[in-house]
Amino acid sequence: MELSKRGIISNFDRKRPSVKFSYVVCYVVAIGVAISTLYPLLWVFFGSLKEAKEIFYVPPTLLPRTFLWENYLRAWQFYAIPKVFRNTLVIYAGFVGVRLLSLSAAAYALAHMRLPCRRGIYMLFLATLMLPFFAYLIPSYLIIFRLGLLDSFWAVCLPAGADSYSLLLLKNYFDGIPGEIFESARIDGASELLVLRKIVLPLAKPIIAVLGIFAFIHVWRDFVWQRIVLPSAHKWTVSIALWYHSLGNQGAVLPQNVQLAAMLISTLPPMIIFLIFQRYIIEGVSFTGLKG
Amino acid sequence: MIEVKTRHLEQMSIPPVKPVGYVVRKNFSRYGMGLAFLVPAFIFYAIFQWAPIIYNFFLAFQNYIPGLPAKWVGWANFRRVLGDSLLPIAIKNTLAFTGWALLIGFVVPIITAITITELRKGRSFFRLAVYMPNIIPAIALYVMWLYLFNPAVGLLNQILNFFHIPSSEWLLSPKTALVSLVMMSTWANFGSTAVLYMASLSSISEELYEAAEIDGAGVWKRIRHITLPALKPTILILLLMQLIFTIQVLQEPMVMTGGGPNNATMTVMYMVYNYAFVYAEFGKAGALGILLFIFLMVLSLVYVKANKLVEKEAR
Repeated sequence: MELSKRGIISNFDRKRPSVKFSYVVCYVVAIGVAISTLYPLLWVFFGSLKEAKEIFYVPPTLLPRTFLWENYLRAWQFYAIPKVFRNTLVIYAGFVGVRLLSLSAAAYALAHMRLPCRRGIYMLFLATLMLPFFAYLIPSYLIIFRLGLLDSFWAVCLPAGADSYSLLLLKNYFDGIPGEIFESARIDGASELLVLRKIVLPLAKPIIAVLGIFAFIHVWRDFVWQRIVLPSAHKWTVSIALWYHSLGNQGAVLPQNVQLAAMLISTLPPMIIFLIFQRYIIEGVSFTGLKG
Repeated sequence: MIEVKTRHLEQMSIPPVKPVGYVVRKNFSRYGMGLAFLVPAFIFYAIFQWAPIIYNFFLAFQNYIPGLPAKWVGWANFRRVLGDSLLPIAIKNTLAFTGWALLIGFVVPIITAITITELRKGRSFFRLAVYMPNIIPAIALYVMWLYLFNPAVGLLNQILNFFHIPSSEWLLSPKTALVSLVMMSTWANFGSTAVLYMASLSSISEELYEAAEIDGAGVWKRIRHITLPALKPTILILLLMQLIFTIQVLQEPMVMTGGGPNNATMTVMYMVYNYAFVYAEFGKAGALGILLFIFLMVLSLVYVKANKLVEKEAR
């Protein structure tokens, strides 16, 4: 996203006292918003290091009296973090694989191959773009049940193959690649599969990165669907384990500080991904919004 | 060039009466490969997007428990769902949630986006900070906010007390529970909306502002006559998306309040979920799901139509 040098307020304006004041107000608002998003996280972090008793002190303390890092160790063991992280990552791999296989081929065909009534087909795929996922939660569950996929990772991975949002992104991206590249490869005798593998996918790396990051954040945060299709404990994902031990039946048993430690551990992977790839994410968000 | 040549050859070889097989073969060699590339996506869409919608219509007229044969019951499910004494409460709560979420979730991102875009320094930091809550996984968010909402030791009451405002019960009181959920979900989601507005703000050309400034338009006038009209398409799309997104609110009340206290946070979608996964009455879940589905479709059609009308009149 290219940012402009001037906004509504120009350099000239800024010398006027009344505008100067509102420019300061802008900063105050921005800082206020940043505090409101970051401070609670910091506060929870301090809470996760406190003793179990100290959390319930009135008046509450801000900094923990002793930094109990062992809360994190307890959370790590109690929530079986290695197991649930592994499950979630396995699901993520399948999720992204299925989505890219299904949608990159379709988007390439829609953008650069000969098709009868291309627009009609595209509209058919996009028809469900605005459709809320929860509106067909129940029938989707029953279809998974009938396919015998209940309690299998495939129940989370396979539906990823149909996603209008990602298709829209990929198709828009492919539309931006000039068709001559593919034409000349075809004339040289390359098959369509070869073109897809050797030319399209390498060119599409940025958009694939965006989709991959979004998919990661999605798989990591999704709850209701995973909860209903993955009942057995050894298949649990991060979301389910966190829910079960912190908010479900077990909630009252665990001390608050360990719960908060587990919450922060589970937030760490997407947070790291976000900090590394923030440009991709923010550009991806902007792109979908403008085109969608 | 190649294209033209083959077409020419094809035309020469067309016999006076085309046999069906020829037409099929010709179209296949023309479109076959492209269609083959669509097959995987087509299968996934058929199973996971189109079939569920169609299936839901059948489900609504059946008594069905997974594993047992379905029984056709006509309109009985609809009658039972509409007669459910919980439904009016759930509809009221859902509309209240949507109303609040749109009111807060609509204004806050726009103001945030405009102010942050105006800053000369630290823009990318603020953008990062604003987007941060979107990254927190949903369940982690709930764990965190249950702690923040805690009436005795939570951060929110601490802040209220700091300003000498009496403590609130937040999720524990029927009066404030729903609004508390709205607060939380606004906090969690406003960043992505704000980033969208920032993108469309930065696409407004500087010359427009220059020209307006030369003509003597003050800052407020520039916002009113340039910024807001330029944001209008984004605003319209996002309003519709937020509306559809918030009307199906399920996860927050389900996990954080269980619909309580005293059904104050019971929503329509939560009723659908309960019918299916608590009471195993999938037919009723289907019926209520269909009603919600139709309502959302009608709503978005009306919305699109109304916008077109307004635009026409404006011209």
